[in-house]
Amino acid sequence: MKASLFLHNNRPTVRLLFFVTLSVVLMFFDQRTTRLEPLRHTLASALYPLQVVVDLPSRLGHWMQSSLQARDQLLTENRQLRAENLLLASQLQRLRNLQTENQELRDLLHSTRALENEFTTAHLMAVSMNPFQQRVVLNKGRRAGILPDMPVLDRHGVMGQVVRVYPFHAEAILISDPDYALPVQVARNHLRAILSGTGYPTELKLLYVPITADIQVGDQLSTSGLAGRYPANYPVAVVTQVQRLDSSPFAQIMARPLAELDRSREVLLVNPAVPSHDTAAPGH
Amino acid sequence: MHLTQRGRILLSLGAALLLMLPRLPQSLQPFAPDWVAMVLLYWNLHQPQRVNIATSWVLGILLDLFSGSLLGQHALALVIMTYLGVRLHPQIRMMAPLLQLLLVTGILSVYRLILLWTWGVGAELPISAADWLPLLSSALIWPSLPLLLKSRPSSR
Repeated sequence: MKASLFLHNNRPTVRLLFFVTLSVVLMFFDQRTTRLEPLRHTLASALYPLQVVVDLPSRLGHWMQSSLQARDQLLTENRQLRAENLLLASQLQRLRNLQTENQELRDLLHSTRALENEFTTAHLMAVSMNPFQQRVVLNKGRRAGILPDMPVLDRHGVMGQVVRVYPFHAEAILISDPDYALPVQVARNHLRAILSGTGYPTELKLLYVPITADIQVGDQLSTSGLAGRYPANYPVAVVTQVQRLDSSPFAQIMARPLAELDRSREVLLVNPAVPSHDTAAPGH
Repeated sequence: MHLTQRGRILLSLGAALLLMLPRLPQSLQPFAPDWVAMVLLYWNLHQPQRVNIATSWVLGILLDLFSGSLLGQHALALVIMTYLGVRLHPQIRMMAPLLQLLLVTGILSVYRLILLWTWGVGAELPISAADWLPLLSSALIWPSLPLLLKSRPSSR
């Protein structure tokens, strides 16, 4: 009786109360538990084709742009890439030597072996996530071997981290998200700190660095690998501003991300945990 | 006629949902209007018996899924907005266009306020003046909505 009365009731106030309660309960469960994740996964996977459709014009644009490029322009680009490739190849050779040498030294010291990383490439879809969050959608998902927590890099530095993985796509959070924090170290002196987003793609802030710490404008920050999620020593940001106020025990430090958070389309995903076979866990 | 009207409503809401999706250049992103909220509010004012609170809840859940926010966040904001729209529609439709625009902007700002507020519950966020910019673009677009959505000059 009550149910039928409710269902046929058109008074907006009753409906309002019902749906407001429903929304609040959903929000509560979504924030406090992971019970809604299966539901979200099913629905989001079903809606993925829509995102592909929305992404199409931008892909088409890129395709048109690349197919309409003039021949000599392509030739120039090709020449540049060849030169760059040569340079990178020679640097890679040196790196290989250093890596072997490093490995041998580590073996001598009976230290853990450095981890080998595996990479997957993906591209960012032209789909906006919430304006209040710095998040992006990647066009590869579980089927392509993407796992939650995988670091996302572009050619300049660390961009962020995968947070949700669906069968064909994934969501990643950018380092500029105010909710996100990343353990980093100053490349010059290995001073450790926490880097957090501000909500703006060109500004990051360094948290809890004492005013006496040795840090200056221009210092490069790289991942410290301490949280065990990021491989160590990937470049992240450059310090742009250091303010030491007498009123605060911590210096106010701003940094600019090296990755082009708002422009990069092609990204690299790092599989962080591919330990080489001799057991060792990443250093303590 | 009945079906085409319903089709028109569904089509416009679907289009609004798709318009929310593309990522705009960084400089334009803060101005992205709340398409879904706007079109929904339009139908709340003109077809309150067809487009009601249940419709806006479903749309809200879809928005939540697309934006990766907490499930129920956009739904809550849209439901409350629709309630205001449906409740006030007799008065709003009688108003002069400018006054109407003012009130509509007011209702849309309630939507935004709830959205910002619920974000504040989920995360530590700096709320800045830029978060209100979509209201500006929505207010600019609102007067042209009837041209796109109205079926015939005489409403039934």
